[in-house]
Amino acid sequence: MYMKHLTSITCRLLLVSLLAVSASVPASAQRTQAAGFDDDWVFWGYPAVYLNYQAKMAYPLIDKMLQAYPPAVETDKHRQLALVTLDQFLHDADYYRRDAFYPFVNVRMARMLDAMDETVLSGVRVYKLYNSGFILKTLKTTVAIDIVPGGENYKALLTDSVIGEIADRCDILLVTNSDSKHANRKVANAFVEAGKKVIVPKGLWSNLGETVVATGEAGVDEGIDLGAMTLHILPGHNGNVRNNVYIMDFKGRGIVAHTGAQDNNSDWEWIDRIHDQYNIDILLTKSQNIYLDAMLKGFQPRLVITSHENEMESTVDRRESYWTTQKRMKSLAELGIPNVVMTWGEAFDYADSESKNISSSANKVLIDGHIYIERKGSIYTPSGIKVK
Amino acid sequence: MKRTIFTALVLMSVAFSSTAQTSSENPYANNYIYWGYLADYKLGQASSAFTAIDDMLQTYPPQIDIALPREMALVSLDQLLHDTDNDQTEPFYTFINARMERVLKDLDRPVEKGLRIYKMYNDGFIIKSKKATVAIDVIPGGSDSKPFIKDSIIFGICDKCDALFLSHCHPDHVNLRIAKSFAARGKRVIAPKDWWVGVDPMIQPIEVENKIVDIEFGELDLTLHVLPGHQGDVYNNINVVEFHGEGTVAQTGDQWGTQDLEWIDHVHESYDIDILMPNCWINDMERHLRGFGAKMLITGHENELGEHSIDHREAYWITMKKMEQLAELNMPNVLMTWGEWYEYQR
Repeated sequence: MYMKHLTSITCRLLLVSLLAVSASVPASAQRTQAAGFDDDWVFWGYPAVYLNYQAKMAYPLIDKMLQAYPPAVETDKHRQLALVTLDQFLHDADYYRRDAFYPFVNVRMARMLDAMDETVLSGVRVYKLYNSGFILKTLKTTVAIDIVPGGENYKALLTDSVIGEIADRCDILLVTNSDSKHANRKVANAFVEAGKKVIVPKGLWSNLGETVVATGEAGVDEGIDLGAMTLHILPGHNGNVRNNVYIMDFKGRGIVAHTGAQDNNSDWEWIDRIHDQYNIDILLTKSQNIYLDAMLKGFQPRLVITSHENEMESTVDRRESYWTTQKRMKSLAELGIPNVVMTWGEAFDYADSESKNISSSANKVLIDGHIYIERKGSIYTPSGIKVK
Repeated sequence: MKRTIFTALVLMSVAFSSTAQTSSENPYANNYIYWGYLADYKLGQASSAFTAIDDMLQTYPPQIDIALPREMALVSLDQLLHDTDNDQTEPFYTFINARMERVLKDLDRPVEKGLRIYKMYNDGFIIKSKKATVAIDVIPGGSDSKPFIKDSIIFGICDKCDALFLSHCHPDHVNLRIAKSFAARGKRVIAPKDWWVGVDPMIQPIEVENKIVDIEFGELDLTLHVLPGHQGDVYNNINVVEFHGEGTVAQTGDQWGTQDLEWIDHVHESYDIDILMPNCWINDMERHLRGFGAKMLITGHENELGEHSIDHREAYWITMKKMEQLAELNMPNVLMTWGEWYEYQR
């Protein structure tokens, strides 16, 4: 005890003597050059470099979180955090200057391409691509819709190589309308070169090649039989521009509708009644739509997957975000239509299985304006709660 | 027909709103569409993000091994706090005050053994033992006219503390209103040399140049050792607080200067420090860690939103990177943000 005390006193004396000696040493140190940020992590005077590094830190984390918490009907709070964080980074006006942005997209696309090689045994697997782009894969066919590379203002988000790989893995490309957010000639060419069919609205790319089928006569449901899928093309519009609304009937595996850039008041008359004619499982539709409720009521799908979020060509205020989609869908909860919020490169399985809440084998019924699921004589809410 | 009327109304609203665009004029607000209303969009985004972050941080509280969701939350918070559009906005105030309100409430929960460390705004900490609750460098942030933390919360917190120790005279570490609130309740405030001289007998500037001052707080069962640090030429008290039998913490304020490094190298020979609380941007972190030889580390000063430009709003992810680089020291660290607490036992 005594020795310990003595040692302590000795140390204190040494410390105090050192204090006296060192008091006159001048202060120093401010960063003088821009190099070596990875060594000291000091960014004073370099805000742009700081933000670039922050993005480099965040994008891989977001990617990891999204993998850990994949798309689901009930958005998990972990996933929600990842999505709203992604929104923050994608609403940075200088997003394209961040080194980590393009690798983030590329790694997700590469992962998606790998996953596309897996067989889908039941139902429909939905892959979300940039903007309004989707790929639908079943056991027997793979359909691409509105695939665009994006990045018109700066650099393409989907590289030529990715586009080529997608074309190789798909059987057909559907294009809803001529707007560059939905249609891209390079993508269509890749499909044509791969010997795949491309279906586009009438008048678009008439000189592209023989495999392009121009369609969409007003009031005509052409009902094209493409083997593993029957394609119904409905004559929608974006303003005065033709917008094909596609209904893809995968013959017992699910029926999926894609509305492209549908936006025309004259079309509501038939959209309001679409559910009378088609038993839609999944509606793929743009989230940023003041008439989203009417769209949902018209199609009455069992599930909605939104699109068009974070279209990087738009100004920040018009760049739809995942959090606004979530808010909007929450505000439409009374419709009882489940939704899945997906981001680039993700997959969601719409399974043909009664073990799932959402099942293409169940029947939809409309009671008091709300959609319910009828299964084996019982009535369920779309989220699986038995009501009768 | 209804839709046509609605569209016409929308168009009219847009035309009228072109001069002054505020949230009340956004015809799409109920649809969460913000075309032409960037500020409103940013507010909505910040609100959603702060809420999600707060939720996640509560689910994954501070611990030595940081979980992926907590890491995500902290980096998300960094992004929000490095976007100056979010400065002094309602979502920010809501976030920080909700977290501080939890501290206010939790301070009523007794500590049976060891120490509970509360992280406050900037470099502020509150350390609670069974017998004492000590505040160090606690400030409300913002300005006196519009503080980040509401008076009702920050002064409520101060009411639950027994003493206030201050490192140096910079306004991101000291606040006269806070100091006076301690003094008014007969609680001692230990301030740096020459600071607030004569303001109140309970506010005691300490002369520590080239020496160490030990102050006993018998009723609190603790000893304060004030070490003579500097930030440049400014006196910076390094407060080593020994909670007898429970643990010893050292808060280094804005210690910065090579003139002190030689004696700092030997601090561990004199004090058995459990927790070192340096500011996250301290010069030569490694040398300080070796010098204090603490059992664990909790950094302070991240995301100071005051006068600093974003390049010097030190981010949580930067602290993580620095800690990764110092992993070989095997010093556990707990990365905390505002309004969190961590239980420490020897």
